[in-house]
Amino acid sequence: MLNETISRRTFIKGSVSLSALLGLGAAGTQAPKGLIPKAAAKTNGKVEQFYNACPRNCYDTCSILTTVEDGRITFITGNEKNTYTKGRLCVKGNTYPRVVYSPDRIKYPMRQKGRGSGNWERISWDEAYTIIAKKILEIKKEYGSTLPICLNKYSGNFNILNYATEGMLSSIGYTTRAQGTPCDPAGSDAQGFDMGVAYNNDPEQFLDADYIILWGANPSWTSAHSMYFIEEAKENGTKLVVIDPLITQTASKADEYIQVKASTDGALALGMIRYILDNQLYDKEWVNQNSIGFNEFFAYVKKNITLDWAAEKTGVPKPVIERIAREYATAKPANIWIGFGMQRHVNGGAMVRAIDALAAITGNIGKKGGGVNYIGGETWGFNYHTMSFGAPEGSGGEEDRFVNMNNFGAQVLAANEPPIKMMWIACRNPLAQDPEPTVVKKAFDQMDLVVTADLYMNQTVEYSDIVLPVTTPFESVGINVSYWHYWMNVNEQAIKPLYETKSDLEIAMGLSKKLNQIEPGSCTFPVSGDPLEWVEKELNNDIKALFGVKSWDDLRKNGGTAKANESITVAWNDLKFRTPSGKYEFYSKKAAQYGHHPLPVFTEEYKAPKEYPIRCMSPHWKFGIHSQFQHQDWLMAIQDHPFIEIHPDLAKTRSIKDGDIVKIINETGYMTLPAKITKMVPADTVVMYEGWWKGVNYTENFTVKALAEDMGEYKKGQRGIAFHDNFVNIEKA
Amino acid sequence: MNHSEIKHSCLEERMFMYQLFLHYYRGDLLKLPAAEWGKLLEILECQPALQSNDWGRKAVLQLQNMTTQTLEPFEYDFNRLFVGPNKLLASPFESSYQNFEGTVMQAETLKVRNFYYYEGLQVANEGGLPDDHIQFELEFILHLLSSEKKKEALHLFLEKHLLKWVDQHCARIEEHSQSLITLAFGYMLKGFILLEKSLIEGEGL
Amino acid sequence: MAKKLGFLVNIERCIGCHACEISCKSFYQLEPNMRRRRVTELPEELVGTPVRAFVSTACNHCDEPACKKACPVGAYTKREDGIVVHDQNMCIGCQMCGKACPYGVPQFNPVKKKMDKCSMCYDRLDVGQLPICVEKCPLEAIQIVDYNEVEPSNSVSVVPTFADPSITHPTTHFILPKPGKQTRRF
Ligand code: SF4
Ligand code: SF4
Ligand code: SF4
Repeated sequence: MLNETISRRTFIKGSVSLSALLGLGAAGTQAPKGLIPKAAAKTNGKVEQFYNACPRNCYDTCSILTTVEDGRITFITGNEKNTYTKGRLCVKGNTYPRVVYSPDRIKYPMRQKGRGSGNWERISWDEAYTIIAKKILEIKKEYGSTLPICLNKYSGNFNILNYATEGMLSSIGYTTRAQGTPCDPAGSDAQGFDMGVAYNNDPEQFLDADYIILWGANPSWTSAHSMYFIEEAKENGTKLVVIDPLITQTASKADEYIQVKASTDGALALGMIRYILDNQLYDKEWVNQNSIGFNEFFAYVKKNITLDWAAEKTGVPKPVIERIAREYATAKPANIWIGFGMQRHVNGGAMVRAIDALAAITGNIGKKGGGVNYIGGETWGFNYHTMSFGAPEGSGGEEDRFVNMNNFGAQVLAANEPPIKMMWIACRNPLAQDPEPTVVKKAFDQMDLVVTADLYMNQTVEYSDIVLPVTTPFESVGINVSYWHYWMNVNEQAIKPLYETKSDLEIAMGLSKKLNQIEPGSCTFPVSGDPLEWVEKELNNDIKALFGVKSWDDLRKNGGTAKANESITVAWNDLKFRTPSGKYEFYSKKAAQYGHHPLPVFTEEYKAPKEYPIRCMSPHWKFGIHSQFQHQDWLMAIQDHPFIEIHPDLAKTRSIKDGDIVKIINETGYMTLPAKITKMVPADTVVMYEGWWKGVNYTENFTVKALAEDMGEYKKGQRGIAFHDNFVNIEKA
Repeated sequence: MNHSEIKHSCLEERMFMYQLFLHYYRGDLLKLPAAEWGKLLEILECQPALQSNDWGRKAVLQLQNMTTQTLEPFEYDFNRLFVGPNKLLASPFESSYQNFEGTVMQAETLKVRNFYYYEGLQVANEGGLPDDHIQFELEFILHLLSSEKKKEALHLFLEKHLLKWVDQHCARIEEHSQSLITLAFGYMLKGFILLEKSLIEGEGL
Repeated sequence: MAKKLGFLVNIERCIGCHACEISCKSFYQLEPNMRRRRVTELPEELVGTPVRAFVSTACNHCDEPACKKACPVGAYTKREDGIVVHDQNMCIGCQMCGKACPYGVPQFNPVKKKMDKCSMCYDRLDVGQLPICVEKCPLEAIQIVDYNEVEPSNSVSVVPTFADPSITHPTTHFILPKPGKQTRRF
């Protein structure tokens, strides 16, 4: 009994004794006060509006207008001054007030006693910085460098100031980095080989297109604002063709939908090319003036590609291929949008090259309203000042070491001399979003310290030692551009940060300060600074000129959003490609250098193993971006559980009925979830949408292997993952 | 004991209890060394407010069974209930109980803020912490208790705010608590709130 | 002549995204389960070829509102312009209206203990603004139409899942999707 271990002392009565005991003085006297006299100037009923930028990894990267009443956000909507956002947000953006005021937010820095134990103690920011700084310095001493420290950060928040996390780690020395992207690498390499870099037309130009092919893209769910322009174009008479293995929401809106066998899109494009060549429908002049290697390419097509082969391969009947090829080749201009999903295959890069070639031979590249649109980065010319400080003197190692983000667990485990001992995770939830989560978990087990900065409790936070609470976009400043549209959006601080949350930039400064206190000179990152000054430092003269703005503050005062100069909104308008030859390269030596065929040839798709005959695709879901948004209560009220889509014919073979619980399994893992019987998916494929579901202890990645795409090293350092070449078996659970 | 003395001691007891809960929710008890818990228990054992009802007695009884082992999970459990980083199992914010999901900083929060304003007070870190955190509500009540003139405001605040949600809060504690101490404080609060309710009803305000 | 306002929902344009529903919820700061507007999935073969189709509905501001008839305290009024307004201050939460409405529109809010339904944002309309859901639909798929002025030729007054219009004469109309061409493997 506790009582026995203590000395019973003369009893003092009441509050005085209580306060004496706690050493605090009576509440309301010496104790720190929660309530203070009201500032005289305070009134209520004050309404203000602020501009924000949606920083999620989203095509639409909206300009947001936030209404704040008495310091509390009351409404969040689109900024009307942005002609792409058009004053409205997607369904996810409309939930932002709940994102900020969610009861699930992480509020304070905390330390977990025993990774995964759920035993958390609250610590101050100073304690958090001290623990982290000491560990960093200890590692540096023991291993002679900071290479055992690994950063895994990606796209949860694309605010330019969030690169402070990368900058802070570079400022302590050379570290290990999760490199690459699970997103677009194969396609970006493909466009890099063909044109020098991926560069897309302004999506507002869908209005100028005569013919639109959405190839493996589902903007109804992933880019609602683009879908508006597409629907407008349709109403004006533009034909919309959707090529996709699934009848997506976008395919449901098409004038013509073509169901292609997954991972054979390249064969379809090559079949169309064969028809176009045979019928002299290509743009000779364009090809002659602007490309190299077309003779070799044409020879390849004539020798290897037939329409019968293409029809057989893709499951699309020959007359359909012919008709679509003719329509596409004769429409001026014709616009292709290649979705990221289409290239998440072992032959994804090669397929994108074939589709690029289709656009090139028809002269659709460099034309307003045309193009072969995939992704772009023309507006990202910031200073990235937060990353500019360099390693401190005397830091060991010569350069950063990279592990592949797409095979993170295995590569962290394999890293040696020195091994990886500490992990910093920001803007990511690798334990839910990476393939083979069990391997990632093993990698975590090897760490001395795992630090995660996040908004909410998720699988990764659950398995961390220290969690740092971060701000939402509405509680910090920043600036954003998109990889799709041509706008730049300011992000103002609309409200005070709730609880003890801090932005990644403030965390970087705070940690640097602590490091320098303990060991002066150990971190080159500035230890203080006003975020408003930091954000101004991101704009250089080029970017100011491109957007016609004087400064961040100027833009803030004038509508919060600006569009880039028209001259860059038509990709390759000047036909000066950024390839070694300066031309469009059907024949790419660069591709050969990276071990690929120099021409856009068809490479074989991944074949289903016998035991696991069913393809399981995991495309993006309409209520979420990766692990964000779906868990908000407003969306949970609409759909609160994942499900798997199964074609009735397939369901029949296993006596599965709508709503039955189904087990999906392969050599990597398994999960059980309810079936939705629908003709929206083909009978050889099941679909489970990607995301993080609250209260659900599995993710679609439980069966996903770290199978590499064909490309990615050229532009992203690492290949991507063939997420959609995932094969499983299903049975009634 | 004359009449005024009874009133006086009653007020003192109330202030003690509010102060106790204020300290508790502010986290002041988390770092209390094992030895000091015994002293705290002695103080609690002599509180008439606790001895006068079942919940209070139950709570004291619980605490009397406390061992050094029970102390360890106290902090973790306190955090699971009121601090995080997980979804709070017994949210300390009033507005969490006025909507299904426990969303904070809703209309109720501003009503609480206006109450503070009316008394010339505000949360020091206004906007940073929702105004309806139980810690602020308790501090506000202590402020109102300190003056006979504020009696009406006190009753209004209790009726419109604290008493309205604290039962649900206690129910969540009872449901989710895994530590003897958090449970005991849940019982204590529940019992004390019963007394407060009957007091207000008795005074017919 | 008085107006006869009603929603015109273009299913051809609607992508089933629920932004209308959530923007309404956000603007009025509603509870998660309070759905003044709701988006419902339609049968896959609605227009012949299988597609994903949705319809977005709210209160139908009926010509003969059953809710109004059922309310024992007169909390419902039908304005000159056709909008059916529910006065939450008068509402006693008896839920009679919810039971009477063939569309199940009025919903009980267990926190407020009152009924809740779409007001067609009449206070916005009165100052020349559009209802939130109309303004915020990314596809511009919802319109407010004065049916006394416009005789919508290409619209219908009923879709599957929507109750028989002869009961309360709802004002909502729908534009059905045009079936597209499909080349399917299955
Ligand atoms: S998620 Fe995309 S579409 Fe939605 S608000 Fe953000 S940027 Fe806009
Ligand atoms: S916002 Fe528009 S497109 Fe989206 S569900 Fe509502 S009506 Fe349909
Ligand atoms: S008209 Fe107004 S109240 Fe009715 S559903 Fe639309 S936004 Fe909601």
